[in-house]
Amino acid sequence: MILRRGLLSFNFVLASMLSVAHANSVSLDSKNGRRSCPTNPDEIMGMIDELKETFECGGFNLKECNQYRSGSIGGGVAASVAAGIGSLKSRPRLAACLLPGTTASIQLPSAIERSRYQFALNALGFLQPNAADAAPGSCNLPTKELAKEFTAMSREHHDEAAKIRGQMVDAMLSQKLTPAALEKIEVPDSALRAKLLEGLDELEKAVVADKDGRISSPRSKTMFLDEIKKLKTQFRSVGNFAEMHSASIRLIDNYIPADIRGDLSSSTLEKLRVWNSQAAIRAEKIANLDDPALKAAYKKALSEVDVLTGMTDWNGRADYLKGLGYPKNVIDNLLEADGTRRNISSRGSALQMASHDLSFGRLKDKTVLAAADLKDFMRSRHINFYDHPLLRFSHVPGLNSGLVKTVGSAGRAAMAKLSSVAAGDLAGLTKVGLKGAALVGSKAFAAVSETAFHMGSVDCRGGNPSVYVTEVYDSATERCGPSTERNGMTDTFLFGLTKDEQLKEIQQGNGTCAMLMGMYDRYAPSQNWNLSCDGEAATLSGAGENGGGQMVKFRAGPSGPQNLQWFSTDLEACANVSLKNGEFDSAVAYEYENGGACGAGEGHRHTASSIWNRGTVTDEKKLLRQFSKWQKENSYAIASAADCCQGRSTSMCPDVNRAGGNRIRTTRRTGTSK
Amino acid sequence: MHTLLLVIIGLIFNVAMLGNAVAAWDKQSETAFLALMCSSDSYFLKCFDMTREKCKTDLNKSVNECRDSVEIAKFTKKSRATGHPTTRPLTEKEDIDLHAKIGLCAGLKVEKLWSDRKAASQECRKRENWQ
Repeated sequence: MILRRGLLSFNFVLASMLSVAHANSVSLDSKNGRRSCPTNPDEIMGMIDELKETFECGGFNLKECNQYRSGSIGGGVAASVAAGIGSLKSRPRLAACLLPGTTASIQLPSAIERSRYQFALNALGFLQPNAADAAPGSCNLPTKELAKEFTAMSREHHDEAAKIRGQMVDAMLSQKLTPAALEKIEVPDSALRAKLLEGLDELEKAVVADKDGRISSPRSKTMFLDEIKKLKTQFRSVGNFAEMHSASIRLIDNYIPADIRGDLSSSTLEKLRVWNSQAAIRAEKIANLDDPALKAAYKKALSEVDVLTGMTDWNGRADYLKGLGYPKNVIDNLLEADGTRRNISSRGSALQMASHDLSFGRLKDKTVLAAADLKDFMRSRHINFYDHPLLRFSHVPGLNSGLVKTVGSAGRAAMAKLSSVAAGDLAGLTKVGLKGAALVGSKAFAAVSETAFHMGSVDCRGGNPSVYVTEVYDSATERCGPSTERNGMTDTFLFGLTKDEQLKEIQQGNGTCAMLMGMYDRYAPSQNWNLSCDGEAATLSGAGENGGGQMVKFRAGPSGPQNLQWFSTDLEACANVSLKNGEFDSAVAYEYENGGACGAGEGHRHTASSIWNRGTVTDEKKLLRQFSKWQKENSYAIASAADCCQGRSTSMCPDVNRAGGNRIRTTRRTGTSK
Repeated sequence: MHTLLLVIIGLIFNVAMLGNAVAAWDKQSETAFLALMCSSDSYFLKCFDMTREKCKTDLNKSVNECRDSVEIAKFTKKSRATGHPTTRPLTEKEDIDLHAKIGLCAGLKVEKLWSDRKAASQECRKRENWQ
C-alpha cells in the first residue's frame, strides 16, 4: 500500500520538535567549517566530558557499544569472558593453567619478555583459592621468572605509591605557599632532560661495550641502540615531564627487563627513571634553599604527610587535616589520594612477600610451581587481586564489574591491563585531580598510543602516531581531511590525556579541535537528541546519526520502553512497534492522519523478517526498515531516554523538556547555543 | 622486469605476512569460550532452559558466524602487489578487542536465538547481576 503524503499537522508537530533540538545545538558543521573552535576551556571540557560519557565503551565501535550498553545481558557477559580469554592467550604458560580445555603446558619463554606485568598479574590472579584448585596437573609456572616479576612489580608499586605521596606534598604546599615560593622548588623540564640525556649516553656506552650479550642480545642490539639514539634526538632540546617519563618507561620495559638491570649501573638507571630524577633534583634544591621560611614550610608539609600516611585511625585522618586548616575540597582530595596510595603500597608489599617466598622461602628450590605448590603458596600469602580475568569468569555479581569496566573504557582498558596500577586506582588519581603522571607517563599510555593509530584504506599523507588527528579519506567530499570519526587515537585523546594536555592539543590548531567538534556534532546526545517527558510519556527526536525527521514516542515504564511509536516525516507515516528483548519484533503501520496519535485508519501488520522480504518495497516496508535500522544503532538512545525521563539517570541525557515548562539541563556542558 | 620483481617481492611479503599472522580466535579460544560460557554456573545455563551440549552447539555456530564478519573485516587487507588478502599480526590490545567483539556478537546472537527459553526471574533479567 502506498501511504498518502502531506499531512501538515504531523509535520508541524514534528518540525516543532526538531527545531527545538536544532535550536539547542551548537553549529558544529566541521565539514563546512562554519564554526570556529571554542576557546573557553569550560566549553571544550564540557564537550569532551559528554563524548567520554557517550563513548565509555572502548574496543567497540559506537554500534557495538550501543549493543553492549543496552543490548542483551548475554552479549555483555560473552564479551567479558572472551576479552579475558584474549588477555590470557598471549601468556601461553598461564593459558595452559587457566584456560579450560588446554591440556598441555606450552613452552614459550618470550611470553615473559613481551608482557612482564600481565604475566605476573595473571599469575597473582591465578593464586586465588578457587583458581588454584581448578588448575590442571599440567600447569607449571617458572618459579625464578615469577619471583623476578614480583620483585620488579613490587618496586614499581612502591614507586607509584611514592609518586602519589609526592603529589600529596605538592597539594599541601600549594595551599601554604605563594606561587613565587613554589617556583623556587620547581624542577624545570630542561634539568630533567639533561639528566635523561646523561642516562641515555651512559646506557648507549654500556650497550655498545656489551660483547657477551648480557645487556642486549645480538638480535635486539641494533634496535636497542636505535631507540636510544631516537630518544636522545627527541629530548635534546624539547620534551616535557610526561613525554620523557612515558618514553623512558617504554624504553625500560622494552629493553631493560628486571634480570639485566643488575648489569647496569644504578646511577644510570636512576637517570632514566624521570620521576626519580625529579625527586632527586628537587631534594637538592630544597637543601640549598636560602629561604628559611620556605625550607621550613616544605619540611612541615613533609612531616604532615608523614603523620597522615602513617595514621592507623582511618576516620581520624580528616580531623587531623581539618586541624591543620586545609579546606574541605583539599582534604577530600588528600584522603582519596592517600587511600589510593595505601592500596598500591599494600599490593607492593604483598608482591614483595611473594617474591621472598619464591626466592628465599621454602619454595626456593623449586624450578616450577605445580598446582599443589601454588595452592600452598596462595594460602600462605593470601594474595588477593580482584582485577583479574579469571575472577570474572565465574560471573559472581559484583566481582565481574572489573572487566566490564575494563572492556568498556577505551584508553583505560589498555592501561588497566598493562599498568601495574589497577583501573580503579587510575580513576581515583584522575578524580582527585593529581598531576596525572601515573596516567600519561605510564607505559600503558605509551602502549595505547602505539597501537591505536590506524589509517583508512586511502593513503592520506602517511601518518604520524603522535598526532591525535588522523587524516582519512572522506568519500563524500573525495578529499583527505581530519577524521571526525572515532578511532583509537581519538579515544586516546579523550581517555588518555589530562585536561591540560587535552586543552593544549586543542589550542595547537593542528586539527584536533575540528576532530572534537565533528565527533561532538555527530555523537553527543545534547547535540543530537531532543527529549520531552510528560510523566512516563517520552518523546525522542533527532537521535542518532540519521535522526533528522524522525521521532519516537513511548511510555518509559520501569521495565523498559512500551507502546512505542515511530514517526517519519520522510514517509509521512507512523507505526506502533512491538519490541522483543529490546529489538524490533513487529509493527502495525499507518498513514499519518491526525495531529498527535498514531493508529487512525487502516493499519497493516509487518514482522521483523517480512519487511526485509524480496519483492516490492512499499513505503510501509521502507518505514519499518528505517525504524529497524535506527533502532539497532540507537537502542541506547531509547534505553537512556527511558532512564532520563524516570529520573533514574543523568548519564547520556540530552536536555530534557518536562511537561509544565521546566527545561532541565542534565548534561554538564554549559552556555552555548546557536 | 620491474613489474615481475614487484610481484615476486609482493609474493614473498605476502607469504611472510601470512606466516606471522595471528589466528586471533583459534581453537584454544573456542574451547575455553565454550567451556566457560556453558559451565553450570554461567549466565547462559542458569538463565535459559538449555542443555550444556545445545549451549555449546549454538554458541559455536554463532561464534563461527561472528568470527567471519568481525575478524576478516578488520584485520585482512588486500595486498597491493598481488591482490590477495593478507592478514597481519595483531597487537595484544587488538587481540583482546577482537575477542571481546566476537564474544559480544556471539552472545547477542545466542541470547536472541534462545529468547523464548529465558527464565523470568529477576536475577536473570537484571543486567547488573551479571556484570
